[in-house]
Amino acid sequence: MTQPSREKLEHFTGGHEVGVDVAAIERELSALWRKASQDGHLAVSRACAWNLVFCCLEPGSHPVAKTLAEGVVAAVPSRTLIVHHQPRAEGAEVEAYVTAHCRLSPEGGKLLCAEEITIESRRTGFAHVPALLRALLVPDIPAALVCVGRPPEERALGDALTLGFDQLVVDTRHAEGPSELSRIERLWAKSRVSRLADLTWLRLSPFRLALAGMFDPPNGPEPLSRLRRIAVTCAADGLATAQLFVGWLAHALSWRRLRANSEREWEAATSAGPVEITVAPSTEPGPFGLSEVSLVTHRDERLRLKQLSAAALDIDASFAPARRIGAYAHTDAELLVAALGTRGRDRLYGQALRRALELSSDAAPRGEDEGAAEADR
Amino acid sequence: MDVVNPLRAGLTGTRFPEPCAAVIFGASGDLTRRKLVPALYTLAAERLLPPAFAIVGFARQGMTDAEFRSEMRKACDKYARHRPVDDALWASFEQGLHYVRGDYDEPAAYARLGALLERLDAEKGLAGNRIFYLSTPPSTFPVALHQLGTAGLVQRGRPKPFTRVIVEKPFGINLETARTLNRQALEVLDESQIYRIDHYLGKETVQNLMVLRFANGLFEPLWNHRYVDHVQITSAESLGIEGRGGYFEQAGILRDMVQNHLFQVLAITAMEPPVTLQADDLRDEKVKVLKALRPIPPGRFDEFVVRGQYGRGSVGGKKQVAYREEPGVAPDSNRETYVALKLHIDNWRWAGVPFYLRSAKAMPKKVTEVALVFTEAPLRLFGERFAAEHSPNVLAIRIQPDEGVSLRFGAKVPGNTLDIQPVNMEFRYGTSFGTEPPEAYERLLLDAIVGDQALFTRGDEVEASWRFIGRILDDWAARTDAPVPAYESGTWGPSEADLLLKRSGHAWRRL
Repeated sequence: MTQPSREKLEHFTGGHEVGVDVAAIERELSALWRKASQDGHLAVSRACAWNLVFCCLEPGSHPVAKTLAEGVVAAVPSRTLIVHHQPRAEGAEVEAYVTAHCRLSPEGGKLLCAEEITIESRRTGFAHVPALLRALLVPDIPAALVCVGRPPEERALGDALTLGFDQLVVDTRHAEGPSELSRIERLWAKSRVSRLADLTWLRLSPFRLALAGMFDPPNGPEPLSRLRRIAVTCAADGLATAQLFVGWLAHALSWRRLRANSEREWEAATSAGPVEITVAPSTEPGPFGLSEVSLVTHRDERLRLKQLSAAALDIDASFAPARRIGAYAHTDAELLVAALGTRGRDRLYGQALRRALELSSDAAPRGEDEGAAEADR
Repeated sequence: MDVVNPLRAGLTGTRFPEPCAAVIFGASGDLTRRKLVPALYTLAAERLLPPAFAIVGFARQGMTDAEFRSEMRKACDKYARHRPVDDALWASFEQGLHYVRGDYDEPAAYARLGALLERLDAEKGLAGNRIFYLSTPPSTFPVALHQLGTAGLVQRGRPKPFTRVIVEKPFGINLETARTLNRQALEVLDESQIYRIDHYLGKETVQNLMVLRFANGLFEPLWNHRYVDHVQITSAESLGIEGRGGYFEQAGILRDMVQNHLFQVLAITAMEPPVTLQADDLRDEKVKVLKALRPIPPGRFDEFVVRGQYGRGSVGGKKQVAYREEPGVAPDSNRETYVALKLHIDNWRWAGVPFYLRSAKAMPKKVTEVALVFTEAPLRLFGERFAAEHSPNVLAIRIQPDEGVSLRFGAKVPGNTLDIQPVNMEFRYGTSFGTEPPEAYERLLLDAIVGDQALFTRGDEVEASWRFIGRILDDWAARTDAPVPAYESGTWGPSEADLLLKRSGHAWRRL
């Protein structure tokens, strides 16, 4: 049951101090609980496991955030704060309104799953957002900052980044190339958040696990040390996904150096010689970010992973029987739920990201051990 | 599994099972259809099975591979947690399903099975690893184990390639048969290869009991005789015996539920923190609890044990016939469908704390829970302002249904007077996390594939529980003329069970 309730807490026209009555937000939420209980004459319980702050800085990101929030709170009851900034919109600099989502619990009483507070900021109103968030975050509950859309510049988030979040979540699926990927490192460094999760990284899990599984016993990992060529097929705007995947390989296989010869032709320096890496666009990118990965070794051993459906990957290898494995494609909401759990503190991501950034044209050459401590943070 | 594959390094939250073949004895039976193959399919859908995996059904009923695959597809369509079944994934999964017809004591059938397994090793790269699941009547265990050993399909003590045998409960029907079965199993296997399944251990909330106790600093200091007045463990089922008269007349609820499931829950509730979560460290602590159970003094069983049998009544709005009217049940049967026990654990932690266990059929509802009832505050400052006459704090762990944890405490009623009402602070899995936990069999099968015995019972655990239960069974056998009180179906059992607690000033929780 959704109980929308819109209330303008403070509204000042341009030229005056802008303020939002935070106490009124809390009163409104309490009123919503009472309304929920009175509607059905049932008891209402409050559950809150996370503060989720969705930051919408891009046009079109607000509805994406709403959909994501509704999907997440079905699994993780939370107070959701959606910050929707519109730098050129007319109207009050800061407005807020509240919504509560309820769903039936098995015992018959309604369970309040989510309180959703939308903060709309316009023009310079974003400057007030950090203070509002400080007041509205539920105490003693962890807080996650979810950047909706392409990774923002850290200066765009300002002081909102340093509110003491426990988790930072990004999605680099549509990041435009290496330079936007490097924003993640800067965001992470400024936020001092201990947990960083990237939905793209989680989306890659089926391919990573499937590839890793091909080199378990009895096949063994030896072919990995004599790779000659890797071909990755991804969405036309999914270069960042391919980068992360190759960054993971570079870290896991201790390649010396990654270099971009062109936007889609890369090269890895390994102890066995150079490995050519090509990235081809796919017209049907599929749910995993990649649709196909092929490996060839110096001994002409071949392996191909190809997405077959939203639930299966086909694996063909010259050194092992062909097989088809389950590869359940998760929605973005499911990935975000995973990011709020143990998968949100995957150190491997930081290591893969650092190697992936070597493909950025403005990246300085990195040694093997350089920055390892930061990646392990 | 040692990490020799560099691509596995750092992968979080995954266990890496080795390729293997799973042979299900009794594959034409209900358990295979309802639980085992649907669980394996779900594991495959969640990429938790090894890429190289095969399932071989073995049973007396004649069936081709195609017929077996068709039956299993129907079973997964109905019972798999991941539904609808993905056609592309199923097309691959069913290629790993095979069937061998044979009798459990037919050497030629085991030879056929061995030949098939060798072929599958070559075709699929299964590396000779085997898991044998005995989903068959307990009487066939010794025969099947002997034949597996004779055919060379299991090799005692060999770690690689591995061979493991999963055995369903009941493991024996008394101490003597349990010991015999253990001895027979150890002739062809060693203990590390024997997986005695108790599916309660695979339940999310039974594991949460360990997490609650040992991942939080709050509860463990209170989890002892200083603060706990008594413990109640209940496993109630609303259904009757559902046509299993032949089995139940032999077993009874003490053997069917208490000796295994409830004693496992008791052990986890009462155990000391293990030094690690490795299987033997965990099981060592459980065995200590079972060994510390105070034997019931001879001639005083009625003070510590109450049994009952359901009569006619109404459950869930439907009429329930009496146990003696069920098919396959003798009209003068004295088999118990209700049992309540008062136990004492003689160790430093629990000295003087009664543990009340009860399990029954034809109860008002299905519920399994553990409740720690705490001692009252040393001084009743608020006296009669406490609304309920006796409202101790209670920590209740609900195992099924609606899994979760609740804590009862007193709170002031809003108003000008100092009135106190007990309230519940609750956490419910289903409404807090919103995600479906894995089925117990999914977890247990995966554990067997990766070689983790932590959630399987060990031979000495089984014998320790039978040692205690066996004395009760012996007393009943010696007093066949002792009446078995009847209770109306849809009630919480015979009044004698209430007296069991009342003598100590306790009462059963209303569930």
